[in-house]
Amino acid sequence: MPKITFIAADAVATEVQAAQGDSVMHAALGAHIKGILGECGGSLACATCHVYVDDAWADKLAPVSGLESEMLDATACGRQSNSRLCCQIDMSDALDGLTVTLPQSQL
Amino acid sequence: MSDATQDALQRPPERRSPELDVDPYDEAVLESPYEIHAAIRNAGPVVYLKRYGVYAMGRHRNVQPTLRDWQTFSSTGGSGIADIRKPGNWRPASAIVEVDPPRHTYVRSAMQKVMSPQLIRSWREMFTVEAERLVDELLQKEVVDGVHDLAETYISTTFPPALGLRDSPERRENLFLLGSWNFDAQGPRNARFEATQKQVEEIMPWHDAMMQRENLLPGGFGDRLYQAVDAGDLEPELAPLLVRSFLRGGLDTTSSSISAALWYLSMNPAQYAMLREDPASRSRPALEEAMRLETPIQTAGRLTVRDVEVDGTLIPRDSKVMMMLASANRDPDFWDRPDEYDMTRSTLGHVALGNGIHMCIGQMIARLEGECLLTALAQRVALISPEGRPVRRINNVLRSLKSLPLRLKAA
Repeated sequence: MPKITFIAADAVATEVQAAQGDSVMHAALGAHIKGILGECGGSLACATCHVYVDDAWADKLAPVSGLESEMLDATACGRQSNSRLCCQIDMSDALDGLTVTLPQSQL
Repeated sequence: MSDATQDALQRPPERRSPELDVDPYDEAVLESPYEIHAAIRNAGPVVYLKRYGVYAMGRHRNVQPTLRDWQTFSSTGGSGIADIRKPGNWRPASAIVEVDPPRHTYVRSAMQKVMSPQLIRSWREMFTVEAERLVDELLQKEVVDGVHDLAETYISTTFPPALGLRDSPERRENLFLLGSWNFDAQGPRNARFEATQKQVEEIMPWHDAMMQRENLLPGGFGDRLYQAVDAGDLEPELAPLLVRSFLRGGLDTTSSSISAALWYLSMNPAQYAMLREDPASRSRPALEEAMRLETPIQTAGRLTVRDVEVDGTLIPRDSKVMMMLASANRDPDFWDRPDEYDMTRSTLGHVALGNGIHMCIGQMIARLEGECLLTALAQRVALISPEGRPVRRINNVLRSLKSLPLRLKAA
């Protein structure tokens, strides 16, 4: 079961076990991580699962799609080069140890 | 019967959908559909509704993946019960709802760019000011109608300005009539639809004028759509159509959700107390749970592009399949205590807003509307109690309250 580390805006880190194939957003909601809302349940309609991905992992992820990129322009906190919508990141053993930082707010 | 149905009936019985003779559009059923929904779920993964010649799915485990599988379940046959490709169809296809990718991707991206979360966030102050003003005014009355005085008034004063519609004495009534007509038209061409159609004919000139650029106020969503046309980002013909979609999708649905939230909160004082404790965290979940239970848009149609097997049942190609969204939202195989209002539950997986590529494009507006209204209420009103029986508005597809007498006790 691959692990994800969520670093909250106040620098507190939480490690979560994810199921193979589960999105990072689903894993966050399952672990009640405050700071990920995922209001649209992964349909690229809300931009409330925004994360900043640690540099070490950025190029191991599937590329940003056109629609994801458009929604990333609409996040509550500024888009950075390592911004992703974590409903689009599916966990696998290859991503075991993935670390993401949460923005101040999703709304 | 069609060839497709004939083929389906040749199949071995265990792979065929059970036929049901129910009428989901009967007035008593629209008033209280839950028995019919349970009957559909219990009959099988897919049923055939004889009276209407369409298939239906009521189980969450089938409805949600079907909504996501646009390649098999196309929207081009129409999101209602009619097959809009057939001659004699009485309404034009929606430019955004009733198309598939790649066309859908283009239209949705263009609309999403204009309806950005940044733009929606910019409306927060306007929604909050109006919510607070309205609740303060209604507290003078003590007994109010949660639908007419609260939800519909709030939506009528916040949603049209966001769109950029000029005010006029008939605006509110006309907008709700248009909404009723839009959703009646998603159902069968029954007496109910014909009655609404007659009423709407009188306001069509007003309706058509409203979509035109010169009648849309600067800075609103409508004006921004036309600006996108100027910038070459949107086909010109789409601008008035997407203004129309915005209107039809967003007014009665949001109002219905808010009315339902008020109803559930009035019946569950412990839940209302929880909302009051922490409106910042709870107002959005309070609305979302009301959306699940009420499911303003009760059904959505899809068209099979090939023969498809659903949990062992075969649906032939070229068949209209109705997603019973309201049924999926109370499916006991998916939800714990499905008929209970609980703002602390996870509502992840509810399909009141659909799912997949066609999931409600205005959902963030709806949530912001709900958040602002429920927050203003929570801050000013100590208790909301029922003051008489609620009455439903009966529509082929839209579920909503018509009257909700409430007593408001000031904080």
